[in-house]
Amino acid sequence: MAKLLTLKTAALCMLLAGCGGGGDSSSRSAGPDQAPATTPAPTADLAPPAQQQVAAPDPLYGRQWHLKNTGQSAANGASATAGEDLNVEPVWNSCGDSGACKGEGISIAVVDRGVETGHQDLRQNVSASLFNRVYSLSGAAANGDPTPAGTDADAAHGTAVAGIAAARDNNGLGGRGVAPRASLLAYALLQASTSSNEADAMTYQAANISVSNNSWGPPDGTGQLVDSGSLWQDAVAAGLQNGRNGLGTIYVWAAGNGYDSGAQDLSNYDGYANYRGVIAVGAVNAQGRQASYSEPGANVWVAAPGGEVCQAGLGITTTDLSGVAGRNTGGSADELADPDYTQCMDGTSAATPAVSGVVALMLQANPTLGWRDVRAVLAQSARQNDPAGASWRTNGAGHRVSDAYGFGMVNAEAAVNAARIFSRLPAQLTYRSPSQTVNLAIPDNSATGLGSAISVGNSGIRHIEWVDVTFSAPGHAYSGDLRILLTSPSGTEQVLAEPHFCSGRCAPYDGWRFGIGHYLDEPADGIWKISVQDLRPVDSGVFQSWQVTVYGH
Amino acid sequence: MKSLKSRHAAAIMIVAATAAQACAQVKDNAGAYVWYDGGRPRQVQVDKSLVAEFGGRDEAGSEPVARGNGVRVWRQQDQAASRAVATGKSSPVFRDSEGGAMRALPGNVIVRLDPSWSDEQVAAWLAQNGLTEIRRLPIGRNVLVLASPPGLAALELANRLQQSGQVVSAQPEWWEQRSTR
Repeated sequence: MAKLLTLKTAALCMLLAGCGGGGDSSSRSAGPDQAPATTPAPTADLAPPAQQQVAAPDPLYGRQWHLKNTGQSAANGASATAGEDLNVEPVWNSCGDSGACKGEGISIAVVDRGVETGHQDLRQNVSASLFNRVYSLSGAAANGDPTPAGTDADAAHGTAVAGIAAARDNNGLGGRGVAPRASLLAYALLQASTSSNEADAMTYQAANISVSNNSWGPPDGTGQLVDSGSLWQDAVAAGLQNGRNGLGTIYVWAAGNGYDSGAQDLSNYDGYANYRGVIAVGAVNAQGRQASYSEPGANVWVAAPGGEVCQAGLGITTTDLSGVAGRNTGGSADELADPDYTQCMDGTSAATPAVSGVVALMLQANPTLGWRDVRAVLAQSARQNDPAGASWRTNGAGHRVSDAYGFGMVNAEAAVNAARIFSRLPAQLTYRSPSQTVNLAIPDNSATGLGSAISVGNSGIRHIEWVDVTFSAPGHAYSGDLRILLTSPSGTEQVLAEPHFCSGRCAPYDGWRFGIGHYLDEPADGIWKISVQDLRPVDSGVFQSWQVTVYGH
Repeated sequence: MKSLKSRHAAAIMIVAATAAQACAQVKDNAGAYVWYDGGRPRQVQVDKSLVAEFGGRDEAGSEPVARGNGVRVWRQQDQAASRAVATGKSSPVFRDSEGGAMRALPGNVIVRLDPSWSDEQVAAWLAQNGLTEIRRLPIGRNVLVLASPPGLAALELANRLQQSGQVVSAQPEWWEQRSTR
């Protein structure tokens, strides 16, 4: 059955000029380990010309509720809620005279386990001028074919992610991506996730990488604090400074899938997703509500469709490893008949490339946006989904914000329109407070808790963009006992940590950095307060110190 | 430039002497292993039940506890673990805390040297210390990956360099458990 379908697909492919014309992109990208001979213009990656292609509808588009939610339903009885989507069709329909509104010339690097770059619905969008990247433990990173060696569902992850961001449209095949003419790169970092490889994946070709999509991170569902190392942070900082020819590569990051675990992970326990240089993305389901697994947190910037597992709800329809490999190996009642595609991708992994695609559309509409501008536009244009949800509140600058959704569900049309007219933010200021020593025992198993305050003055920051709080209670042997609450000078309360369990023992807070995006546009000056409670028995410890760093303008 | 070079040469002699004589501190008083992340000390614990193996050695009849991201993790009591150790391409498995994500030492050390050093100065420093540069990382000037065997040897070399005071920072190359989401 699957073989027959593949043959049929191949026959269809023969009829479509450009569907493979120009050769296999993976072989094109398997050149020697060297930078391109000439540096392309800013973000002007040149994908194969689209004009050769005969337009034909994408047969799976009707299933892609994340792009256009018409109230689709699944065999399991789950049904979507019409309108709960990315609202991207108006962008595609607004090409105008230039004919470019689908991400043309914008590069998206998919940092993952690998991508089948020869997939029939991806290969036309795989970059012709930049290089794919492969990693090993034994040698240096090298340019090469990033197609994963494995055939299981995890091996298919990057292919699914790439399809959500930028599967080709109007080619008579499968579905389409959010930015269906953007240029794809694949960095197969998870083949060998070492410190130096992580740094390489954040910086390689950064001058020409518009968006870095990262649907990965430390293992979820453990409740553990897992910090990012200084090498990775320096690499992201370098990408923000030098990427996209000085405007900054946009790092989009999966918030994490551990909320429905026993640990009830918060995204802020993840030192990658809570870093100020990345856009952390939460996931919503086909009803526009928080996906069961999606980790909330003070660092979550926006949300996007991530779906639910197929057995329980509606997943995301996207590309899969070709043939009977990957997620869809044929024969499953939940799955599509065509094994080159799946309708069961889900996770903040799926939500992340949706945002990467929207960012590509924004950058095409306004290529002069800096990385901070992109963040601001996304926040300003997001839609308040699930308006009755209990997590919504209003910050001191009047922004509606939620730990589950950040500033809301990404709205592609609004984001692109806002991007077109956005005036770039002024230079960023940084205020770092002295470390405030507390050195008091936290009352154990008590709601009484401890409080401390830091006064910020003359920072010059009238509009906060981001806050880092560094917190230390290194002697407390089970950090999961603690509830930590931060209150801004404007009076906005923000939960940083909740009592939770860990697999094994929760590592102590020893200079742990919490990232907070939800004070956007509040003023920095005034009294910042922290409250620390130990709400569980047995383990106890001392609140040693804390520090506030505010970024803004 | 010349005086800089001679001062640098003197510094190199000190490093070399230190490196030759000192045994790097890799454990703190509580018995946890210590490494330095950008100069900041961080603790890790050895998971004595596990061994990490790097490379594609054929192993029949045993299934690792975990595999992926270029690594196979064996139970210490597995015969495969003994064979892995015998290849020299293995490392203890570390965790930041009990039950935390796994990490291991596949070999190599990453140093940040004074960014004002010229390539000549860097080369001299490497030569004097008997170190081999594998590549540089594009995250600032003079961030080098240096060759080292896998396992504790990498941690010891990194800490020795860090404690020498002659580098901005030094850390071992870590393999870390990472997942798709």
